[in-house]
Amino acid sequence: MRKNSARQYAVALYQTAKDAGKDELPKILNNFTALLAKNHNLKMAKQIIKELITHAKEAEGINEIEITSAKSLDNKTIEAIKKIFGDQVESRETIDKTIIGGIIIRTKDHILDASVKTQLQKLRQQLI
Amino acid sequence: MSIANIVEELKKNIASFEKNVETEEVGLITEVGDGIARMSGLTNCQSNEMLEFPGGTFGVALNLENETIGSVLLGEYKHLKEGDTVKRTGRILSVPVGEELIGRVVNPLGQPVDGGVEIKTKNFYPVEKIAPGVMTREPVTQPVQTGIKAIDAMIPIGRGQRELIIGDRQTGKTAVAIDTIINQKGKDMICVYVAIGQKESKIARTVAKLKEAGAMDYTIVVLAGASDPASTLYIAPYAGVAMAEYFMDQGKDVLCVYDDLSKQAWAYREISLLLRRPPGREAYPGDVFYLHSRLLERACRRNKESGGGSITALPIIETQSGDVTAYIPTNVISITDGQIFLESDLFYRGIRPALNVGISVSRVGAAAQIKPMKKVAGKLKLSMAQFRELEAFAQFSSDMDADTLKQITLGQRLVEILKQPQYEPMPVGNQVAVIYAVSNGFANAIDPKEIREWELKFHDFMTRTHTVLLDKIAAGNWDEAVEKDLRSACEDFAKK
Repeated sequence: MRKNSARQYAVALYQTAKDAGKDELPKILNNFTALLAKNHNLKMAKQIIKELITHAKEAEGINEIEITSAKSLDNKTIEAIKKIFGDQVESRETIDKTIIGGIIIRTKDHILDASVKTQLQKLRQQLI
Repeated sequence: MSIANIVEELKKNIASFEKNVETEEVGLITEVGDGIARMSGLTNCQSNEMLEFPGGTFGVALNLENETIGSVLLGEYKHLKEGDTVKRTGRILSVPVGEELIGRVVNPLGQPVDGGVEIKTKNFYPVEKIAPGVMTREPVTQPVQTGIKAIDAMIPIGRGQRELIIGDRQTGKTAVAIDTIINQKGKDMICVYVAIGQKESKIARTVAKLKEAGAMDYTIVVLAGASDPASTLYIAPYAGVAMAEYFMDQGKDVLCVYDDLSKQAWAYREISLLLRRPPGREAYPGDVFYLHSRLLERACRRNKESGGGSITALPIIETQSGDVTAYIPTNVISITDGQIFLESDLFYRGIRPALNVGISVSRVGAAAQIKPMKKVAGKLKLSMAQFRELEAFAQFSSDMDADTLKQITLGQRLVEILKQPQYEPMPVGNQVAVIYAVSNGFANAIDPKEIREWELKFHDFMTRTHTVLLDKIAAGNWDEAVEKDLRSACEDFAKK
């Protein structure tokens, strides 16, 4: 039998649980864990939870972005950035002094690198 | 240039620098090790696309799967870890090509490994390219002179041909290829020598020898050493042929030596198994035939309308204790236009090059042979075949009729004359002259052990007194007058 990946489990669980009523949820979860146990896949639980969260966000149209900057940004700037990426955006901010200035924004598949560090590197390439 | 000028120049450069920010597609490494990496993301990645890993390492996307991408890493990968970002480059794997590469030793990515200056070329060619189609090709008509008597006479190679050199280890396979490269001096040929999985010491010796012979003036050496990752061994021949294609596109003739393809097949097997592709016979993946056929199909002779030029391929395959029925040897034998068989038995008997004339063939080369060589080689082949038949029989019986004895005497001298030391390729005129002399019995009175000495004297005599005749022969002239001249020259020499 083909082994199911964590993502496949997560998608299956999401789709079953999505339209279920509040009363049914414990039953679904019980069944799901029983299925995992039966397939000897309980050790994948952590991964499945991770996948479930990404999948749920994807399905509900929530964009996740990661903003890296040299200094901490104020709320106004963050809100302005978020607006560009749609209505439902969840952001995570990290601070990395090595980028010198500017920002790096990361979505799921793309990266927008407007950091001073990268610009300087590009300048270096052009000069040499 | 004064300092002020430099500052001015820099200012101009900085002013013209455009600050543009682009989004890039990225993925995350989920698994790395053994020279391969798997990653998630990179949804629009193409097959065979170059990927940029942190720290300047590049990789090639080979497996595009449902949720992950499998890629081989070209170079160091110890610093990579799970969760690192991988960028798409949007470029299909390509190598720098151009005249700048001639005389250099480069790795399969076109970076110099000979300690010389950086190579800056204008053009890049994709490593993988579909071979030219039927309409752009034409039959092989011009010879590649290897300078080796036995090969030029009996297994001639034409420009655009693919001739396999096959044999056990230590039978002189590389020697045949290197001699051929050395002999291309002044023959309007660019040579590409691709060394795959060989000892770096051996390559250093080969390159030194090529330099000494002045052959590096028209040769590119592509080196993927034994300690390099399997991925570079795998792409090395494709990189080599891409560099050759550039020169073919200029209408030039190119000779490509792949030394050797069995090691490339091993490297590909390693990559395939690590990427979890299903193994087949001898654990090679299912597309190992395509691995070699798509490479060797790129050797061709193009017609004038398509720009001319040719790529001659000399792939080398190493067999294990003479087993040509193994998977890779049979594959490559069926792809190429003939094979040069080298045997360790002959090698140890002192017949060097250790060519097995009986099973070596060239399927298209005869059309490219020059006329004088065709004439003398016909007789040579016949005498050799007769000699092989009588050879075993001669060992038993002491009394033989005169005819048989004559054939054996001639055969022994022919075997001796086809011996040739390494790094001493011979001009085609001399080859024709000496083969003509021996097969017409001018050396029958000489002891087989002294043939080598006789040959040296003969060449010395010919080059001193009959240069015009040799040039005429080398230019492909052969009629009764030329033959008569040659015969009288041989008679003159015999008298001395």
